[in-house]
Amino acid sequence: MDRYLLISADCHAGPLPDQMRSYIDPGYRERFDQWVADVDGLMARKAEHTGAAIYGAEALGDFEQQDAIVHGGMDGAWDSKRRLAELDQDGIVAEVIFPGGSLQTCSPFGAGLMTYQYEQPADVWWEGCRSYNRWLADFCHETPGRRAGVGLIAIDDVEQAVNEVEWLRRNDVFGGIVLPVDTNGHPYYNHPRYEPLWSVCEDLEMPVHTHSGWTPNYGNLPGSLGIFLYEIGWYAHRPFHHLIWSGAFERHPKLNFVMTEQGATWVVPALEQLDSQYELPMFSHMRRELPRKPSEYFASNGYIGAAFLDGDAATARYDIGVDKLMWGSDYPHMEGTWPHTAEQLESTLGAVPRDEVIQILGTTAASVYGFDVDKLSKLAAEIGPKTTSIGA
Amino acid sequence: MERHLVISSDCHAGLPPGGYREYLDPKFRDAFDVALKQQIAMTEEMEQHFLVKDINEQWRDGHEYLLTGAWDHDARLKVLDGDGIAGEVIFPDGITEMNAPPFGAGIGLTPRGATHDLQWAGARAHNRWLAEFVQMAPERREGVAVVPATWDVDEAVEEVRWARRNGLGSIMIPVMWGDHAPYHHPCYQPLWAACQELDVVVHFHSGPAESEQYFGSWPPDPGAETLRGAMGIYVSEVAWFVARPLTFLIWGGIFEDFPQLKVAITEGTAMWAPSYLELLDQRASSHAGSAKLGDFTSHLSLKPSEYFARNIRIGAMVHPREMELRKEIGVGCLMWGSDYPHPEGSWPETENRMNASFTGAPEPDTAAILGGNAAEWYGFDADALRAVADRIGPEKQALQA
Repeated sequence: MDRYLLISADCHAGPLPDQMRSYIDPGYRERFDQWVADVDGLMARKAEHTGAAIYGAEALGDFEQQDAIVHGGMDGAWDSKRRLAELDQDGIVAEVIFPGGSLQTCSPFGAGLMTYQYEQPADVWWEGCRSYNRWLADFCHETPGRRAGVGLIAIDDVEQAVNEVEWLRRNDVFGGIVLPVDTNGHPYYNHPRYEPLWSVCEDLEMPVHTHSGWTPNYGNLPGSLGIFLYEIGWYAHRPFHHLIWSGAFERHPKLNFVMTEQGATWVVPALEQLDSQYELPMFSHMRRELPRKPSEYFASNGYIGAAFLDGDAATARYDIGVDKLMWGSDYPHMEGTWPHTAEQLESTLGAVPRDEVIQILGTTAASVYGFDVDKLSKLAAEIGPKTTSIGA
Repeated sequence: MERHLVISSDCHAGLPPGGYREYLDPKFRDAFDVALKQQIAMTEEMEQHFLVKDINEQWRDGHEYLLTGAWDHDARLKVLDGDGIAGEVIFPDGITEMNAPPFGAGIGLTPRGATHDLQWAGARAHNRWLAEFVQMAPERREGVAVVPATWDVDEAVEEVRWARRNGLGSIMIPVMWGDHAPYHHPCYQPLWAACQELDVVVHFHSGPAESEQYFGSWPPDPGAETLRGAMGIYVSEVAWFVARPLTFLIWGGIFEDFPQLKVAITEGTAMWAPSYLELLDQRASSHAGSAKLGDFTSHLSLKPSEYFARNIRIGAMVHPREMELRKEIGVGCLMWGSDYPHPEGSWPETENRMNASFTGAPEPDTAAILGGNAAEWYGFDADALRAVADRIGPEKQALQA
């Protein structure tokens, strides 16, 4: 084999507002139109969140001047054919799709990676999730087997969330679900109310994800962006603590929990700290209920998605576990590797032995998401990045 | 025989709950009488609820007199001398939960669920008592005044001035601000200015966290079952919440505006510091991951880790692993603490704990972490403390490999 099987465990897509509209339940269309038109409301919510615009004009300007952007490469956020072309040229045979395509695309009623960032009725959040999932199913079916869509759920009604996971699986949206980082005033994830959700995800082999997105509101104040940037990762892996300590992985040993686009270097010190707390003499009663150390649950149930946006994870890979790490391009976001994936991989993974590169770039994701490796290998033999140029 | 000068950067003291009555502004005494019964009942309820009653009683068994050092001058000196501790930094809440100042003005200080006037009254009652307690051995005691700063900043500034006038060189402010302004808000500028001007150290002490989420309700409903894993989640997250204000102070440019401001993070362990600083520095440097973000660094002239080294100290038990990480944390930033009289602290096993962490370490590092750093940071009278240490401090030779 002279080419790698390259699977991106972190890509983003979403429809344009006009495309979205037809997926919205007719009863919510008027509300949707108002929501799309409410530019002032959007700006007000942003100001409450981190103050100034998150996207810096300078960086955005440089990014938009790149050839790939000028020539419409970001349109793949919603345009299926264009997306295939962009992924092909980047050497990617399959991808895991999260919401949040580009500045042009639409997260209906704000449902997506920042679900519950502001207040609105629970049924509106739910409709946002449902309509996105309907669009996602169609988008994934455009090229069967290459797109693992990650569906959205709201957790105001857990039974509804369970039904939605079943709907996603039935409709071959097999990437799993995004777990909202915030719980909208409901109990957090150690609460038994979520038990049916863990069960259905385990039974149907649907990985549960957290992805950077939701944070508290920091207001329009000096330093808010920096604070946001530091804290966003911690809030995203926070549900994982709750599942560990509440014994969810003990009761659901096959449940896969993937933490995507939140870095990887935090894993080792965080697990070290969790383990040391687990071993405190005064908590012996806790150990009776939880037979394994937190780091052991990470080893059996945890994964890191999009770990290689920088080189740090490569150096820490043995401490984290080579089989825990999945690469991601983050297409079409500007902080990702597109459209220079091969060059980026060359520099980030240059010193990593090839058998490890194979795992990190593709086979781990194939097994977590259930991609058909035989089928994808044929395509990889044509478009995958050359093994001679990446890895040691 | 040479001895180490040891300062515990984390000790606790407070009156038995009823004792605060005479220190309280008389107009709040009726409310106090009502609240006292509830507070005592809740303490008992908590012990039952968390199944720690037996553990606590077992631990206290035989130490009854020495635990009165939570408020008794002579007993306290006896304990500290026995532990080899010359100086100490004193936070509220003596024996865990049994000596908390009234109206939520203790270690769990947060405006959530509290009342402005009452919480301030509770804080002032404790501060009045603490000022007297410190004066009984001023060279050995650094008192931490309780300042519920988020209600009204002018009130907080006044209390800082009162504290300094009355021999208290430290304050603690809420770790969690609830619905009030977070610490990068400009409204706090007068507070930082006063603390810098008067050389008053600002503390965040471990305690508050999202307890309601972990336990299902907080305080726990008497009849309700505790949620699975609640205590594990609490001990994991409490260390994050105690350090969280740092993120707001660093990015908010507070240390840029107040370069001599001193902040200490206490009892939140120290293990988080290396990866925290690495991440902040990475976020502050030009980096692909932050390319799409606007400017959030031009108001800062130093890297986050440089502010940390200059303006921040960590008070921790210094477990062996924390000692191993001392270079990454900063040898000059780490201050040992015994946590007396709390059951999770080192007393009455202080000597063994010290041996486990410090035996074989380079002597200058041990000296700095056990006492040198705190002596400088808090401005203890070095000569006076040295005289005490020469009498009671742990022998240097004993900590050599």
